[in-house]
Amino acid sequence: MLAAWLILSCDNGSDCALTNVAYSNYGFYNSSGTAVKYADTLTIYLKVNGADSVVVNRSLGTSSLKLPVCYTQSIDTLIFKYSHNVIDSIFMHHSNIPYFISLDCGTAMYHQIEEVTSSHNYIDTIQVTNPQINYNEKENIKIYFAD
Amino acid sequence: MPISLLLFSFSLAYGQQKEGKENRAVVAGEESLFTLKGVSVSADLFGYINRLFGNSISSEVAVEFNLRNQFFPIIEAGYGSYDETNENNLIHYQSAAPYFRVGLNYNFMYKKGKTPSPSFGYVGFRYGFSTFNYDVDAPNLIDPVWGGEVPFQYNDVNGNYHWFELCGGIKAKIWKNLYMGWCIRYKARINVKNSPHSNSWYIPGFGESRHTTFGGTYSIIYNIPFKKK
Repeated sequence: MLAAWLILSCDNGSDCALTNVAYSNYGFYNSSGTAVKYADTLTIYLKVNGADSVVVNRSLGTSSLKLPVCYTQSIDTLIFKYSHNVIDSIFMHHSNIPYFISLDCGTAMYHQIEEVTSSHNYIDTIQVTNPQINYNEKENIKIYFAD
Repeated sequence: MPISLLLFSFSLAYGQQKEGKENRAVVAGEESLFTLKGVSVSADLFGYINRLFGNSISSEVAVEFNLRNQFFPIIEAGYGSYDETNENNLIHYQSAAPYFRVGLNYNFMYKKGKTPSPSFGYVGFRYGFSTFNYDVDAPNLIDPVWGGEVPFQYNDVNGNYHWFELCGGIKAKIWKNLYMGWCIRYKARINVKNSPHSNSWYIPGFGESRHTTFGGTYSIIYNIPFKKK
Protein backbone atom coordinates (compact mmCIF):
# COMPACT_ATOMS: atom_id res chain seq x y z
CA MET A 1 0.00 0.00 0.00
CA LEU A 2 2.88 2.33 0.89
CA ALA A 3 4.61 1.58 -2.41
CA ALA A 4 1.41 2.25 -4.31
CA TRP A 5 0.99 5.59 -2.56
CA LEU A 6 4.58 6.56 -3.33
CA ILE A 7 4.16 5.67 -7.00
CA LEU A 8 0.82 7.42 -7.30
CA SER A 9 2.17 10.56 -5.69
CA CYS A 10 5.19 10.54 -7.97
CA ASP A 11 4.76 13.62 -10.07
CA ASN A 12 6.54 16.86 -9.63
CA GLY A 13 3.46 19.08 -9.86
CA SER A 14 5.39 21.81 -11.62
CA ASP A 15 3.87 21.62 -15.11
CA CYS A 16 2.36 24.97 -15.99
CA ALA A 17 -0.94 25.32 -17.83
CA LEU A 18 -0.65 26.18 -21.52
CA THR A 19 -3.30 28.88 -21.27
CA ASN A 20 -3.15 32.04 -19.22
CA VAL A 21 -6.88 32.79 -19.22
CA ALA A 22 -9.52 30.86 -17.27
CA TYR A 23 -12.58 30.49 -19.50
CA SER A 24 -16.17 29.76 -18.54
CA ASN A 25 -17.48 26.73 -20.41
CA TYR A 26 -21.12 26.37 -21.46
CA GLY A 27 -22.80 23.30 -22.94
CA PHE A 28 -26.14 23.18 -24.85
CA TYR A 29 -28.74 20.54 -24.02
CA ASN A 30 -32.33 19.76 -24.92
CA SER A 31 -34.99 19.50 -22.25
CA SER A 32 -34.35 15.79 -21.81
CA GLY A 33 -30.69 16.44 -21.03
CA THR A 34 -29.08 15.31 -24.27
CA ALA A 35 -26.21 17.40 -25.62
CA VAL A 36 -27.38 19.20 -28.76
CA LYS A 37 -26.25 21.60 -31.43
CA TYR A 38 -28.42 24.66 -31.75
CA ALA A 39 -29.98 24.07 -35.18
CA ASP A 40 -30.98 27.63 -36.05
CA THR A 41 -28.87 30.73 -36.65
CA LEU A 42 -27.49 32.06 -33.42
CA THR A 43 -25.61 35.21 -32.56
CA ILE A 44 -24.21 35.66 -29.07
CA TYR A 45 -23.02 38.88 -27.50
CA LEU A 46 -21.08 39.20 -24.31
CA LYS A 47 -21.87 42.41 -22.47
CA VAL A 48 -19.36 43.62 -19.91
CA ASN A 49 -18.84 47.15 -18.63
CA GLY A 50 -21.68 48.30 -20.86
CA ALA A 51 -19.88 47.18 -24.03
CA ASP A 52 -21.13 44.44 -26.33
CA SER A 53 -18.78 41.99 -28.02
CA VAL A 54 -19.91 39.45 -30.55
CA VAL A 55 -18.58 36.05 -29.54
CA VAL A 56 -20.65 33.92 -31.94
CA ASN A 57 -21.77 35.50 -35.20
CA ARG A 58 -24.74 33.99 -37.06
CA SER A 59 -23.54 30.53 -36.42
CA LEU A 60 -25.32 27.28 -37.22
CA GLY A 61 -24.88 24.21 -35.09
CA THR A 62 -23.30 25.79 -32.01
CA SER A 63 -23.09 23.22 -29.19
CA SER A 64 -20.82 24.80 -26.61
CA LEU A 65 -19.19 28.07 -25.65
CA LYS A 66 -15.90 29.00 -24.12
CA LEU A 67 -15.95 32.59 -22.91
CA PRO A 68 -13.60 34.89 -21.01
CA VAL A 69 -14.84 36.33 -17.73
CA CYS A 70 -14.35 39.93 -16.69
CA TYR A 71 -11.66 40.47 -14.03
CA THR A 72 -13.09 43.64 -12.56
CA GLN A 73 -16.88 43.23 -12.65
CA SER A 74 -19.06 40.72 -10.85
CA ILE A 75 -21.82 40.31 -13.47
CA ASP A 76 -21.26 39.21 -17.06
CA THR A 77 -24.26 39.34 -19.38
CA LEU A 78 -24.63 36.95 -22.27
CA ILE A 79 -27.18 37.83 -24.94
CA PHE A 80 -28.51 35.11 -27.26
CA LYS A 81 -30.06 36.50 -30.44
CA TYR A 82 -32.04 33.89 -32.34
CA SER A 83 -33.69 34.18 -35.72
CA HIS A 84 -36.78 36.44 -35.90
CA ASN A 85 -35.01 38.76 -33.42
CA VAL A 86 -35.95 36.71 -30.38
CA ILE A 87 -33.54 37.33 -27.52
CA ASP A 88 -32.56 35.58 -24.28
CA SER A 89 -30.26 37.11 -21.69
CA ILE A 90 -28.09 35.20 -19.24
CA PHE A 91 -26.66 36.91 -16.18
CA MET A 92 -23.68 35.25 -14.58
CA HIS A 93 -22.86 36.57 -11.13
CA HIS A 94 -19.32 35.71 -10.14
CA SER A 95 -16.50 36.57 -7.78
CA ASN A 96 -12.98 37.10 -9.07
CA ILE A 97 -10.13 35.25 -7.41
CA PRO A 98 -6.56 36.38 -8.07
CA TYR A 99 -4.49 33.23 -7.54
CA PHE A 100 -0.80 32.48 -7.07
CA ILE A 101 -0.02 29.14 -8.71
CA SER A 102 3.74 28.92 -8.26
CA LEU A 103 6.86 30.97 -8.68
CA ASP A 104 7.45 29.34 -12.08
CA CYS A 105 3.87 29.23 -13.36
CA GLY A 106 2.93 32.68 -12.09
CA THR A 107 -0.47 34.06 -11.19
CA ALA A 108 -3.93 33.67 -12.67
CA MET A 109 -7.40 35.09 -12.34
CA TYR A 110 -9.89 32.40 -11.39
CA HIS A 111 -13.60 32.95 -10.84
CA GLN A 112 -16.34 31.47 -8.71
CA ILE A 113 -19.86 31.42 -10.14
CA GLU A 114 -22.28 32.67 -7.50
CA GLU A 115 -25.52 32.53 -9.44
CA VAL A 116 -26.81 32.35 -13.00
CA THR A 117 -30.20 33.66 -14.09
CA SER A 118 -31.79 34.07 -17.51
CA SER A 119 -34.87 35.02 -19.46
CA HIS A 120 -36.91 32.12 -20.81
CA ASN A 121 -37.89 32.71 -24.40
CA TYR A 122 -36.04 29.75 -25.89
CA ILE A 123 -34.05 28.82 -22.80
CA ASP A 124 -35.84 26.42 -20.50
CA THR A 125 -33.45 26.23 -17.54
CA ILE A 126 -29.83 26.85 -16.63
CA GLN A 127 -27.79 24.72 -14.30
CA VAL A 128 -24.40 25.45 -12.76
CA THR A 129 -22.53 22.14 -12.80
CA ASN A 130 -19.13 23.41 -11.74
CA PRO A 131 -18.93 26.83 -10.11
CA GLN A 132 -15.14 27.03 -10.25
CA ILE A 133 -13.74 28.65 -13.35
CA ASN A 134 -10.05 27.85 -13.58
CA TYR A 135 -7.63 26.11 -15.89
CA ASN A 136 -9.23 22.68 -15.70
CA GLU A 137 -11.55 23.34 -18.68
CA LYS A 138 -14.51 21.50 -17.16
CA GLU A 139 -18.02 22.46 -18.20
CA ASN A 140 -19.39 25.08 -15.82
CA ILE A 141 -22.91 25.75 -17.03
CA LYS A 142 -25.54 23.67 -18.81
CA ILE A 143 -28.09 25.57 -20.89
CA TYR A 144 -31.29 23.59 -21.51
CA PHE A 145 -33.36 24.80 -24.46
CA ALA A 146 -37.12 24.35 -24.61
CA ASP A 147 -38.24 21.84 -27.26
CA MET B 1 29.82 13.79 1.15
CA PRO B 2 32.77 11.82 -0.29
CA ILE B 3 34.74 12.72 2.85
CA SER B 4 32.09 11.27 5.10
CA LEU B 5 31.95 8.19 2.87
CA LEU B 6 35.68 7.78 3.30
CA LEU B 7 35.41 8.27 7.04
CA PHE B 8 32.59 5.83 7.10
CA SER B 9 34.62 3.22 5.21
CA PHE B 10 37.54 3.61 7.60
CA SER B 11 35.25 3.53 10.52
CA LEU B 12 33.48 0.44 9.26
CA ALA B 13 36.79 -1.32 8.63
CA TYR B 14 37.98 -0.36 12.09
CA GLY B 15 34.73 -1.42 13.67
CA GLN B 16 34.75 -4.76 11.93
CA GLN B 17 38.40 -5.42 12.82
CA LYS B 18 37.60 -4.67 16.41
CA GLU B 19 34.56 -6.80 16.15
CA GLY B 20 36.75 -9.65 14.93
CA LYS B 21 38.78 -9.48 18.14
CA GLU B 22 36.04 -8.95 20.63
CA ASN B 23 33.79 -10.89 18.52
CA ARG B 24 32.31 -14.15 19.21
CA ALA B 25 32.95 -12.75 22.62
CA VAL B 26 29.35 -12.28 22.43
CA VAL B 27 26.90 -10.68 24.67
CA ALA B 28 25.53 -12.84 27.33
CA GLY B 29 21.86 -12.46 28.02
CA GLU B 30 19.14 -10.99 25.86
CA GLU B 31 18.70 -7.23 25.71
CA SER B 32 15.23 -5.84 25.63
CA LEU B 33 14.19 -3.90 22.58
CA PHE B 34 13.64 -0.92 24.84
CA THR B 35 17.13 -0.91 26.33
CA LEU B 36 18.28 2.69 26.08
CA LYS B 37 21.93 2.58 25.08
CA GLY B 38 22.48 6.27 24.55
CA VAL B 39 21.22 9.60 23.33
CA SER B 40 22.75 11.77 20.63
CA VAL B 41 22.21 15.33 19.53
CA SER B 42 23.02 16.61 16.08
CA ALA B 43 23.03 19.73 13.95
CA ASP B 44 22.48 19.78 10.22
CA LEU B 45 24.98 21.58 7.97
CA PHE B 46 23.30 20.86 4.66
CA GLY B 47 20.70 23.59 5.15
CA TYR B 48 23.48 26.17 5.15
CA ILE B 49 25.29 24.60 2.19
CA ASN B 50 21.98 24.71 0.33
CA ARG B 51 22.05 28.50 0.61
CA LEU B 52 24.88 28.53 -1.93
CA PHE B 53 22.66 26.93 -4.57
CA GLY B 54 19.23 28.36 -3.87
CA ASN B 55 17.28 30.99 -2.02
CA SER B 56 16.36 28.93 0.97
CA ILE B 57 18.24 28.35 4.18
CA SER B 58 17.43 26.15 7.10
CA SER B 59 18.95 25.18 10.39
CA GLU B 60 18.01 21.97 12.10
CA VAL B 61 18.79 20.04 15.26
CA ALA B 62 17.83 16.52 16.24
CA VAL B 63 17.71 14.29 19.29
CA GLU B 64 18.05 10.57 18.71
CA PHE B 65 17.56 7.72 21.17
CA ASN B 66 19.57 4.54 20.81
CA LEU B 67 17.48 1.47 21.60
CA ARG B 68 19.62 -1.67 21.71
CA ASN B 69 21.87 -0.20 18.95
CA GLN B 70 19.18 -1.31 16.53
CA PHE B 71 16.31 1.16 16.60
CA PHE B 72 16.75 4.92 16.84
CA PRO B 73 13.62 7.01 17.46
CA ILE B 74 14.38 10.56 16.45
CA ILE B 75 12.88 14.03 16.85
CA GLU B 76 14.00 16.77 14.48
CA ALA B 77 13.22 20.47 14.71
CA GLY B 78 14.32 23.22 12.40
CA TYR B 79 13.69 26.65 11.04
CA GLY B 80 13.55 27.32 7.33
CA SER B 81 13.36 30.55 5.41
CA TYR B 82 12.96 31.45 1.77
CA ASP B 83 13.04 34.74 -0.09
CA GLU B 84 13.00 34.82 -3.85
CA THR B 85 11.89 36.93 -6.77
CA ASN B 86 11.41 35.24 -10.13
CA GLU B 87 13.15 37.59 -12.55
CA ASN B 88 10.97 36.48 -15.47
CA ASN B 89 7.56 37.22 -13.99
CA LEU B 90 8.62 39.45 -11.07
CA ILE B 91 6.71 37.41 -8.51
CA HIS B 92 8.16 37.67 -5.04
CA TYR B 93 7.62 35.03 -2.35
CA GLN B 94 8.96 34.93 1.16
CA SER B 95 8.39 32.74 4.15
CA ALA B 96 10.13 31.75 7.38
CA ALA B 97 8.83 29.25 9.91
CA PRO B 98 9.72 26.29 12.11
CA TYR B 99 9.15 22.67 11.19
CA PHE B 100 9.18 19.35 13.01
CA ARG B 101 9.71 15.71 12.18
CA VAL B 102 9.42 12.54 14.20
CA GLY B 103 10.41 9.10 13.05
CA LEU B 104 12.64 6.10 13.44
CA ASN B 105 15.95 4.87 12.03
CA TYR B 106 16.80 1.21 11.76
CA ASN B 107 20.43 0.05 11.88
CA PHE B 108 20.49 -2.60 9.18
CA MET B 109 24.00 -3.65 10.19
CA TYR B 110 22.89 -4.71 13.64
CA LYS B 111 23.49 -8.35 14.39
CA LYS B 112 22.06 -9.90 17.46
CA GLY B 113 24.66 -11.06 19.97
CA LYS B 114 27.59 -9.29 18.33
CA THR B 115 29.38 -6.16 19.44
CA PRO B 116 27.84 -3.29 17.44
CA SER B 117 30.06 -1.19 15.22
CA PRO B 118 30.10 2.49 16.22
CA SER B 119 29.58 3.38 12.56
CA PHE B 120 26.66 1.98 10.67
CA GLY B 121 24.17 2.41 7.88
CA TYR B 122 20.48 2.86 8.42
CA VAL B 123 17.12 3.28 6.80
CA GLY B 124 14.18 5.04 8.35
CA PHE B 125 11.05 7.08 8.01
CA ARG B 126 9.74 10.43 9.19
CA TYR B 127 6.45 12.23 9.56
CA GLY B 128 6.97 15.95 9.09
CA PHE B 129 4.76 18.99 9.51
CA SER B 130 5.03 22.74 9.41
CA THR B 131 2.68 25.64 10.00
CA PHE B 132 3.84 28.83 8.38
CA ASN B 133 2.95 32.30 7.13
CA TYR B 134 4.13 33.75 3.85
CA ASP B 135 3.98 36.87 1.70
CA VAL B 136 3.46 36.80 -2.02
CA ASP B 137 3.24 39.76 -4.35
CA ALA B 138 3.18 40.01 -8.10
CA PRO B 139 2.57 42.55 -10.87
CA ASN B 140 -1.07 43.58 -11.32
CA LEU B 141 -3.28 41.11 -13.17
CA ILE B 142 -4.40 42.69 -16.44
CA ASP B 143 -7.67 41.59 -18.01
CA PRO B 144 -6.60 40.67 -21.57
CA VAL B 145 -10.11 40.96 -22.99
CA TRP B 146 -11.96 43.72 -21.18
CA GLY B 147 -9.06 45.71 -19.80
CA GLY B 148 -8.64 46.83 -16.21
CA GLU B 149 -6.12 45.76 -13.59
CA VAL B 150 -6.32 43.94 -10.29
CA PRO B 151 -3.52 44.31 -7.73
CA PHE B 152 -1.85 41.18 -6.42
CA GLN B 153 -0.40 41.32 -2.93
CA TYR B 154 -1.11 38.97 -0.04
CA ASN B 155 0.72 39.19 3.25
CA ASP B 156 0.77 36.89 6.26
CA VAL B 157 -1.04 34.13 4.45
CA ASN B 158 -1.33 31.07 6.66
CA GLY B 159 -0.74 27.52 5.48
CA ASN B 160 0.26 24.14 6.80
CA TYR B 161 1.82 21.06 5.30
CA HIS B 162 2.17 17.43 6.32
CA TRP B 163 4.50 15.01 4.66
CA PHE B 164 6.16 11.62 4.92
CA GLU B 165 9.80 10.76 4.34
CA LEU B 166 11.77 7.63 3.62
CA CYS B 167 15.44 8.03 4.34
CA GLY B 168 18.68 6.17 4.21
CA GLY B 169 22.10 7.19 5.42
CA ILE B 170 25.20 6.50 7.36
CA LYS B 171 26.62 7.56 10.69
CA ALA B 172 30.42 7.47 10.98
CA LYS B 173 32.58 7.96 14.05
CA ILE B 174 35.13 10.75 13.76
CA TRP B 175 36.61 11.06 17.20
CA LYS B 176 35.54 9.88 20.63
CA ASN B 177 31.85 10.74 20.90
CA LEU B 178 31.80 12.86 17.79
CA TYR B 179 30.19 11.49 14.64
CA MET B 180 29.14 12.77 11.29
CA GLY B 181 26.54 11.43 8.98
CA TRP B 182 24.41 12.07 6.00
CA CYS B 183 20.92 11.06 5.11
CA ILE B 184 19.15 11.08 1.75
CA ARG B 185 15.44 11.71 2.02
CA TYR B 186 12.56 10.97 -0.32
CA LYS B 187 9.65 13.21 0.66
CA ALA B 188 6.02 12.81 -0.28
CA ARG B 189 3.19 15.18 0.52
CA ILE B 190 0.35 13.89 2.66
CA ASN B 191 -1.79 16.99 3.01
CA VAL B 192 -1.59 20.71 2.38
CA LYS B 193 -3.72 23.66 3.41
CA ASN B 194 -3.66 26.35 0.74
CA SER B 195 -5.28 29.76 1.00
CA PRO B 196 -8.16 30.86 -1.29
CA HIS B 197 -5.68 33.02 -3.19
CA SER B 198 -2.50 31.01 -3.33
CA ASN B 199 -0.68 27.75 -3.25
CA SER B 200 1.98 27.41 -0.59
CA TRP B 201 5.19 27.48 -2.57
CA TYR B 202 8.02 26.94 -0.10
CA ILE B 203 7.53 24.57 2.81
CA PRO B 204 10.05 24.77 5.67
CA GLY B 205 11.59 21.33 6.10
CA PHE B 206 10.14 20.05 2.83
CA GLY B 207 11.29 22.46 0.15
CA GLU B 208 9.37 23.71 -2.83
CA SER B 209 5.81 22.44 -2.84
CA ARG B 210 5.53 19.35 -5.02
CA HIS B 211 3.89 15.99 -4.62
CA THR B 212 7.30 14.44 -4.11
CA THR B 213 10.82 15.69 -3.79
CA PHE B 214 14.27 14.69 -2.56
CA GLY B 215 16.33 16.25 0.16
CA GLY B 216 19.18 15.51 2.46
CA THR B 217 20.89 16.33 5.70
CA TYR B 218 24.56 16.34 6.56
CA SER B 219 25.04 16.37 10.29
CA ILE B 220 27.58 16.67 13.04
CA ILE B 221 26.50 14.35 15.84
CA TYR B 222 27.50 14.16 19.48
CA ASN B 223 26.76 10.96 21.34
CA ILE B 224 26.05 11.66 25.00
CA PRO B 225 27.88 8.87 26.73
CA PHE B 226 25.99 6.65 29.15
CA LYS B 227 28.03 5.38 32.06
CA LYS B 228 28.33 1.64 32.12
CA LYS B 229 27.35 0.11 35.41
